[in-house]
Amino acid sequence: MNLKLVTILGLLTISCHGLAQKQFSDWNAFTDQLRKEYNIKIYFDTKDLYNKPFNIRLDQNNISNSVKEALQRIDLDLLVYNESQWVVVRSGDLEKSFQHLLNLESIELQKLNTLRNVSRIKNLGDPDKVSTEPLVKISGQIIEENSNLAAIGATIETDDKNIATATDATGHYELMVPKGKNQFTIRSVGMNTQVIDVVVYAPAVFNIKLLDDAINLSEVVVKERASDENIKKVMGGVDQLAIKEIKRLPAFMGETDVIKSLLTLPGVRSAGEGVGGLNVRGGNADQNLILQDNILFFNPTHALGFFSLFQPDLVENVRLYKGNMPAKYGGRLASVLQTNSVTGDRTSWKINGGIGAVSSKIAFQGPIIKDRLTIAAGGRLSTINWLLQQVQVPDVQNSKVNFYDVQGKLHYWITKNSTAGIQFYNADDKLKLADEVEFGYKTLAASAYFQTLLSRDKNFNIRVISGNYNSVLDDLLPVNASLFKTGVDYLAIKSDLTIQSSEKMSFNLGVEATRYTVNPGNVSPSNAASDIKPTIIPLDHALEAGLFGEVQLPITPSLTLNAGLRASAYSLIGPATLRQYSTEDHFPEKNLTGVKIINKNSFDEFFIGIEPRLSANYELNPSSSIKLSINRNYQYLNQISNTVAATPIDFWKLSDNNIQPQSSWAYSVGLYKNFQNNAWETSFEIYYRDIKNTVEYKDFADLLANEHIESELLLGIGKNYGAELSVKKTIGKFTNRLGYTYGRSLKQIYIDDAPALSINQGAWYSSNYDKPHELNILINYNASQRYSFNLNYNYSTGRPITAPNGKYDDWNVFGAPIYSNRNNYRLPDYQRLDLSFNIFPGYRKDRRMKGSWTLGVYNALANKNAYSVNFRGQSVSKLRAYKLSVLGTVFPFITYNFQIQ
Amino acid sequence: MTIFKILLSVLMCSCIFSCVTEIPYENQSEVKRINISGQFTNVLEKQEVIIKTIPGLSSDEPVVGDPISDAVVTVISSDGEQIAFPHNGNGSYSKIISGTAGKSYKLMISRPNGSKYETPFIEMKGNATIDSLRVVPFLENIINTNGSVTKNQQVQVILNTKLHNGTVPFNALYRITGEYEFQEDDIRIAPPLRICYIKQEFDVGNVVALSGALLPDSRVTEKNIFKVNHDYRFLYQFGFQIDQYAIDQNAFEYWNQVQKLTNIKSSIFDPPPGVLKSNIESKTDVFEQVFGYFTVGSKVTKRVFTSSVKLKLGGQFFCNITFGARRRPECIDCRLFQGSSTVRPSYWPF
Repeated sequence: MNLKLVTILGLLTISCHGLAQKQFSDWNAFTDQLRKEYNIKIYFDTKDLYNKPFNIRLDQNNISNSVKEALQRIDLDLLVYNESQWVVVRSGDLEKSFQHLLNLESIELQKLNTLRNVSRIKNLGDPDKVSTEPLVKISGQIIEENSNLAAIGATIETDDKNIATATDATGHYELMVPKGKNQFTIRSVGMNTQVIDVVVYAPAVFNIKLLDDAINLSEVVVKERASDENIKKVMGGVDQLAIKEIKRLPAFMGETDVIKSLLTLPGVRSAGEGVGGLNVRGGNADQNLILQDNILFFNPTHALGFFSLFQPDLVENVRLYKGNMPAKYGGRLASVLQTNSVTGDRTSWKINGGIGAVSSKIAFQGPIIKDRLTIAAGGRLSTINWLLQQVQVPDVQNSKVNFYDVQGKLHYWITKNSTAGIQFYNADDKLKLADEVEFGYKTLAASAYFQTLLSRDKNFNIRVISGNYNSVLDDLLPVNASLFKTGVDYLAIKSDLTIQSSEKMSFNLGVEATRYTVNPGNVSPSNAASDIKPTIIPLDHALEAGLFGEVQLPITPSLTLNAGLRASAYSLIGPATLRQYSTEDHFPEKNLTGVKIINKNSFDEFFIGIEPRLSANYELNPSSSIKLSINRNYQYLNQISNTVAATPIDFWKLSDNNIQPQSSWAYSVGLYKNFQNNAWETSFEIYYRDIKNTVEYKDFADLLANEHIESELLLGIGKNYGAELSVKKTIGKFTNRLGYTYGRSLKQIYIDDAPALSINQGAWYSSNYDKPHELNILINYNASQRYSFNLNYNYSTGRPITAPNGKYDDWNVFGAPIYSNRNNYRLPDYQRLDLSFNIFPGYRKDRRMKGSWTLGVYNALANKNAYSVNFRGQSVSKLRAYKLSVLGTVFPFITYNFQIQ
Repeated sequence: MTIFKILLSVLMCSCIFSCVTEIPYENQSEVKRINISGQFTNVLEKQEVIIKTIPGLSSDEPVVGDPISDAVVTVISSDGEQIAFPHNGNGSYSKIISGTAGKSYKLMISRPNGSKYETPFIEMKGNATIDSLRVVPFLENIINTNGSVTKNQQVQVILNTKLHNGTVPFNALYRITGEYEFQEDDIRIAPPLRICYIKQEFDVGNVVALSGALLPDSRVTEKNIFKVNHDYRFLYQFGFQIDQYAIDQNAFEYWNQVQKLTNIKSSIFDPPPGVLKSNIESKTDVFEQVFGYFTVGSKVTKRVFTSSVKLKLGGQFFCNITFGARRRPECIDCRLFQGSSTVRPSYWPF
């Protein structure tokens, strides 16, 4: 349902003569004429007027009566709210109809009571010194009146919506607008929208104060981005999810999951139900750069992948770059997942919490020193063990799944233009299976940052980050009693300068350096009776540095370029012993030609990567654009795992003389088109990624604690390509998102001098993540601000697997399986339907405690989706295939979340 | 310590939600292939090579390879001796003969259709005696599909030995066979009742390959190499025979891979399975794949005897179990057991 808002402002001298006795049969023409001739706004629901014959003969002496009579002929009526604001309502119960309209998405309509600045005309610049330029610069600061704080990210746009900007971190904005009459609409989350009429004569400073909203606003309208951002944004393949939208999504066991919510986006998949890691446009899970405030995450999952790390109440926003990456990001081939944590509120305290079947959480934020020092912190603790206790299996009852995460951010406003802060993050998982095996993994990170506005258009940031990820597997059985430890430590510094020259032109320059220390995996026996031989593999050290620059440049009013260049440099740091082979893509012992010793703190094995990044956006018209991206990336850190799913014993390996850095060229082109005043957003994008030095594993590769790990690996090439179709409706009671992706992910491992080692005889074959067809449908029905209903449907082709295609006998082994070419068989297709119903707090903002409930069912159709396929059949018996469905039934869930402020 | 443990953990934790259902399956090979396997040891016994076809797979048909009986099979020693293996039916080519540790042997096969298959020369590695074997009881938990648990009493064979010849580590492959004593038990038969000694070929699919080079001090410590259900066979005397074959590095890698392959659970946490590399290759068709291995190794044997009494487990009686009114025929004629003999083996303890 659409509500069309027609704003009529009397910027012109009111003249009834133009309308006297004039007849109209077209509603839009009529309202347009009213807008020009009268200072009257008319609000109406397009559905009410759809296909109804409208005819009016306007009596200039009693316009409202004329309109009223004309509307009554088509079962409508007119509510004259005040002189300049009229509302078309349904005949009969005017009040009820009016309330109905209030429940619609029009933020302006909801604020009829609170709009205070409508029709206020401001003169900007000296009328006696009218600028000779057609466009005039208006700048200023937008401030929240009650708190006197800068309104960060507030948008200001002109009435034709072709000119818009947002305020920076200090609330400042700049806008180039045509001389003469303009109408500014200023929006900010949680604040009254203001509509201000201005007459622009010359460059001027125009400061604006926004008032608190008296009631909760509809999230649908108060967008975290401009309504046509998808058209105007230069880069294609960028998806942004609002945290409120994520919280509404049905989730397994009701656990709002920031990372898994991305699976509703086209081109984003996972290897299976409850499996951690994302596969973006066919890429490996390790090809995603996962960041929260530039803190790097190597394993962003809890409980082996069933849940993800980030606590939703402490996440500000989520952005996924799956096409072109900004030059400031590097080190991964497929995508950048950037999440920002919330900064504490400067004026008041808020506490958010939740109780669910799997975990309970709490987050709080507020001022330690008002307007100066804030904190935002919280944590989450698993409560899943009670569930395991319900299973009448001793080994399960004797098993434990424990995890927690805590994070915090102290943010300090040093001056009006400078801020600094420190952050920490800690997540810990411990899982135990009966008395057989115990494993745990931990992420620990801290960072300090400083940012300052050097001038109105120059913003400088610097950040130092230290983090580590460690994983331990403890085999508890006496004979195999052992500890396997692996991990990554890193210390990074990143700094950049952003110059916003104009609304459309900006520069970003910066430098970053990261020192990695990688433990590729050590094994030690944990008791005297253990059969396990200790294996100590020396730590690897490396430095990865990047120098980057990016410019966003309007070439013509329609064409905007974003051109960037990232120069990455990488070097191993001693001590290290490098084995040298006479071959480049496989490393058997027989080809070993020698070893090279790198002394402590010496640099060796340099790689330089020149990574051009180019995006272009050509706006065909205000509602459509074509975007093109070319992207070069290098990846120097590889996750070594010969399983499809990420496991805690996957380990990381730095590139060296044998495992050369992976690199890729990525190309994409997309057509973006919005309809119905940006209510519908559509896009069609095709992409192609060409990968060099992709890592593959030999058959039966022995990876754990292997000093000669390269001897188990093969290097080859890969290509990912596909097309993504996206249709979104972002406004109205029904909002929805439909995404279809056709995507392939292929590899070729051909070993020239040892063809027998080639995978599938050197032919192209499907990677583990090659799922050609994928369909996502997400429908939200927002019955009101209090109630919403959500439906999420996913379908995808089954992932490739290697399946037996024969059996043979050998000595005492009968019916040993003969496996087919790698990945030449597929799991059955996957589909799942989830439903949820949300009950949100009431409209009043002055309640200190607000609670919300989410009820739903995960996998409502009880689809038994294949997690894996097991082939059974002893000896000469026929072979049977059985699919294992890990979450093969309906999962009802209920969670309660609260906020105290 | 394997990825399997991780898999097991995940599945244990998630099995409360999981279910298993059969799906249609059919998969055929893309290439021509043949199954050739055999072994050659330093012990005077039947040395055998078996040649069969390999059928494709489907859900509807049993998998039975057709025996190939038209081949000429020869083993050639490094000193030039040629040993012909005549066909003894059902694709089996065998001869009672022994090899010599330290010598090398190669297998050559030719068929009337012109196909030729061959291995390289394979050295018969030297072996070492097995230090000790123990048999211990073991209670296994079996999780049923309905989530309930059944306790299953088993016995395990525990191996402790060195895997080196002085200082040089070697690789070992194990075969386990069994033999038990059975006494007839029927009131209608006047004593003396017969006593039978019944051989058990029960380590089907149980591949144990160990590398001395990968073990601390090249020693196997408290290694469970086999387990079997405890039942009536342990009532009087049960003997396990462990054959230890010293094999070369290629054979170890092959059998180690077979071991991994037979352990694959087809789960998301499995490493990608692969194609086993045989040491036998087609000399006439480079695209023809050979599955199976010609294993050459010297062999040592050790036995260990146990019983329900020694294991402190309750004895189970075969002949107390009746089928309606009829007793089991083996209770009055134990020679009816497959692999049965009334001749007391020389190694059988009193």
